[in-house]
Amino acid sequence: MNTTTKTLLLPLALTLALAACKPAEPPAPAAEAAPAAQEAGAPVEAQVEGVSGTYIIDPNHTNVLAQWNHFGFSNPSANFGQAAGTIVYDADNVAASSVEVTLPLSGLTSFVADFDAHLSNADFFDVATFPVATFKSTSVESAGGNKLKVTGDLTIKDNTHPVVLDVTMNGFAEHPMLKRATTGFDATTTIKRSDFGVGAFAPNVSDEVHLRITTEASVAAPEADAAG
Amino acid sequence: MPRSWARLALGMALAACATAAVAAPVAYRIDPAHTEVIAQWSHLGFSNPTAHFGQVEGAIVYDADDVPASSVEVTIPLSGLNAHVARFDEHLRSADFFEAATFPVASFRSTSVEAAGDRRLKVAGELTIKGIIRPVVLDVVLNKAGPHPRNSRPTIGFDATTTVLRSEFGLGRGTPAVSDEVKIRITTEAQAEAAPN
Repeated sequence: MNTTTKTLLLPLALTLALAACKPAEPPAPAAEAAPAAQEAGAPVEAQVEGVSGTYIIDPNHTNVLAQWNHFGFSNPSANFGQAAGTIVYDADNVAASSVEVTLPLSGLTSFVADFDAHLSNADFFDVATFPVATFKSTSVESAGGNKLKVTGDLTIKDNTHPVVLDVTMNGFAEHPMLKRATTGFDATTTIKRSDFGVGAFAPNVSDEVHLRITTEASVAAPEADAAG
Repeated sequence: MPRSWARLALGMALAACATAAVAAPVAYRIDPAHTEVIAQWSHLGFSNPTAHFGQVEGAIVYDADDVPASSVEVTIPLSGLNAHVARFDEHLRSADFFEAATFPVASFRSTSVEAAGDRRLKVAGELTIKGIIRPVVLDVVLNKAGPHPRNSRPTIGFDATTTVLRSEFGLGRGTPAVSDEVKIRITTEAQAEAAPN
């Protein structure tokens, strides 16, 4: 190898060597959904004694948190608040229980103002045309212990699809302040947002959306009963 | 010997780049639009409501080759607190709870970072709320590190969980009917200032 060739080849070899190593990046593991929420704060595993009744959902203690994956990096969430609805629980015949909920999309917040505006427009929920989402159960069955399986129809933007909620009964007792029979449930499910006409940017932003619900509901005030 | 000289230079270049590729700690800036701290508690045993701490700012240093050299530092402005119920938000910012007028931000600063298995980390640090500092350990999952598909900047994302006792931070009002234990779930995405090169 003469000097000229060498002086040409050495930089080339160095460049190749550097180029070969340059793309090395920290390993990029496959995207993974956030660890599923354990029933945070859920107090005990003791058997919950169901109390039959018609319970009115308390919007101030009801959250529907939707969580998705953003490019594999983060798992942001949005809350559907101001939920209104009714839970009927039949302790003697769980299958006769039911739930019906309305979620006004005015109660949707992603915690980022620009993104809230985007979620409301025609790219996503088209809130001007479809101001509410709804859920109406079609079957309720016991799933052992304090668990229920609630199947129902979820309607978003006039798209109705069946959804199965894995439900945990948190408790039935008199509310210490309201002095009314009260109950609370947590529930989870996973849906594909593209089924409901809100599939923009999938799959980079995951089509799968994990839903975590908590709700508290009390029987109507005695005055209301008397009036009725 | 010209020939071995060339080989030596090539070998050194390879060795240098091999080290450079993995060893350098990378500094990332947290993206507040893709970072959330969600706090969840038990309300009278009935429901498990949440509040959301947003507008989080801070820096993450991650060193894949020397994990203990990693660190995280964030500030959480209480103006970004949203418990989904307007009146409750006001109450949370009042002197009954966060005293946001006097203590407008909470903060977290890591004191140690260690590997805890595949893509898992244990991040110990100091959480400051209302001027009260307590140690907290975060169980962290590294979701992904790589170039962001939109702007190619090196990007990293983590989820983390921990549980705190709110009474330790002067936020104990209403316990135990409203649980003292608050479960924290964090997700964050952070980008380096610019693509290397």
